[in-house]
Amino acid sequence: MGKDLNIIYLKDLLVMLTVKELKARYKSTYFGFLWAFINPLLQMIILSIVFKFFFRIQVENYSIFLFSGLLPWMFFSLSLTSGTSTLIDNRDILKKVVFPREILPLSAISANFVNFAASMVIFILVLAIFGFINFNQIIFLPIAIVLQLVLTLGIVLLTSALNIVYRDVAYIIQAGLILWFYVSPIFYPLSFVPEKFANLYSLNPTVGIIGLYHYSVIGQDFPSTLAISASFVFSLALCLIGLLVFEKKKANFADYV
Amino acid sequence: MSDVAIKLNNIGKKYQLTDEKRTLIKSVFTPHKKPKEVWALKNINLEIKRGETIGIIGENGSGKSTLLKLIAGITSPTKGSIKVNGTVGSLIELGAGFHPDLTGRENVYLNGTLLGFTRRDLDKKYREIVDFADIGEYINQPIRTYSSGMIMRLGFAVAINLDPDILLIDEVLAVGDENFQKKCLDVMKLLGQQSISIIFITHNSNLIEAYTHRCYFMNKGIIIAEGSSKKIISKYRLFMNAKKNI
Repeated sequence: MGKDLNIIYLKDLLVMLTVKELKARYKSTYFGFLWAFINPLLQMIILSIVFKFFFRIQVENYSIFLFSGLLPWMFFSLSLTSGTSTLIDNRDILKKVVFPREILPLSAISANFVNFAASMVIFILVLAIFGFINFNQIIFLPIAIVLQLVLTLGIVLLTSALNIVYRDVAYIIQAGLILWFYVSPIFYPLSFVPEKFANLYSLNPTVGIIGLYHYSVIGQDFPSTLAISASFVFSLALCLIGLLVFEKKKANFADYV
Repeated sequence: MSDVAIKLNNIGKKYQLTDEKRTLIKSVFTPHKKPKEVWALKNINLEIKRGETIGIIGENGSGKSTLLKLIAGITSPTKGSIKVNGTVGSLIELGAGFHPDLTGRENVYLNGTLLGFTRRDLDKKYREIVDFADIGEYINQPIRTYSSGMIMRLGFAVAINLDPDILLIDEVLAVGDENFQKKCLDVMKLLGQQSISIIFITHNSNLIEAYTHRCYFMNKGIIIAEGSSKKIISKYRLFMNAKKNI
């Protein structure tokens, strides 16, 4: 026993911190977890009304299309926001005890992932009941999720390590997320992007990921090879960079908080 | 295992002093200004054998706590090398990760995991920890309902049951009522008789004299004297008196 970093210990630590995060978040709320579902649902309803009735957008099953992109986006954006500040938020334990520092960004993501996974299951069950789900397409869902997790982890490792030294990184991320939302195919389909910019647009790693979600849940066109490759390459590259920066800085995290 | 528990070789620790928090935007757009630096520790050489109980004495700001942080691995040295054989337990900062909305039980598991226990270890130790903390039925209440003494006791109970090879102790013994203090000192004595190495930091010279054989005297980030506790304590008292008279 003790500090040997075996896999069981790391699993226990991750579970413990994730559960703490969720318990602390929902202990004083009445609906508990439901908030995690209501939030994207409300956004979906509002955006649906605005784009369907005001802008008369021509997309089949627009509400379902919207929701299948909004759920992963909210998981992404919540993970980035809470992940970036996780080292500062946990300064108390960072200063007091020694444990694998990577667990903090990981648990920030996994706490949001639990909510996301539960929402996704509900969503897909409802769609399945109404006969929307196609087995040959839904098998791509795990790929979309893994790709998104790698991208999220990479960014969060990088931004959390930077944010402990430069406190404005959290604000830069918040502003960046707002811009990023508009250049991702969430409330409009890929086909709306002008031909001229299509290739440039596809370099955004979320295009391939959200595209995969759209394909697997509602059978929209499969994302282009360029978009998929960009997602793979950028996700892996960011994960590598994030890991390198985090590993280099982690020994002295306690000095900055 | 070798009979050296801890060996510090020429350790230095530098901190950067900044008046304000650094921001990414500012550091990109303005020329880099070198921040003020201060050496919290300089040329520290120290060796502790297995089973030895030593003391570190010095005023506030002499670098004692920084030294313990380095030994515990919470931060890393700027210069020199640290060798630590065995697991380090610390009674410096109790109750890491305690969350007010979680129950005593949940907090024992959370804190214990952060200190290096697996879930299974904790299942086995749980009874012992709760008995030692002695807070009765409150264990299933959120700890925001606890008194500060109860919270400290719970933290202490987890830390003391970690079975470390090396134990770092600060002046936490000042917590809790007299009964609990006695319990803690008894445990410390017991641990001292086993093969555990103990480092005890304080500015209370009586405690050092009572519990340690060997002692280091720190001032302004360096070790200015080392030797038998008796000798060092008298030096320390002279030093403090001289300071008072200026």
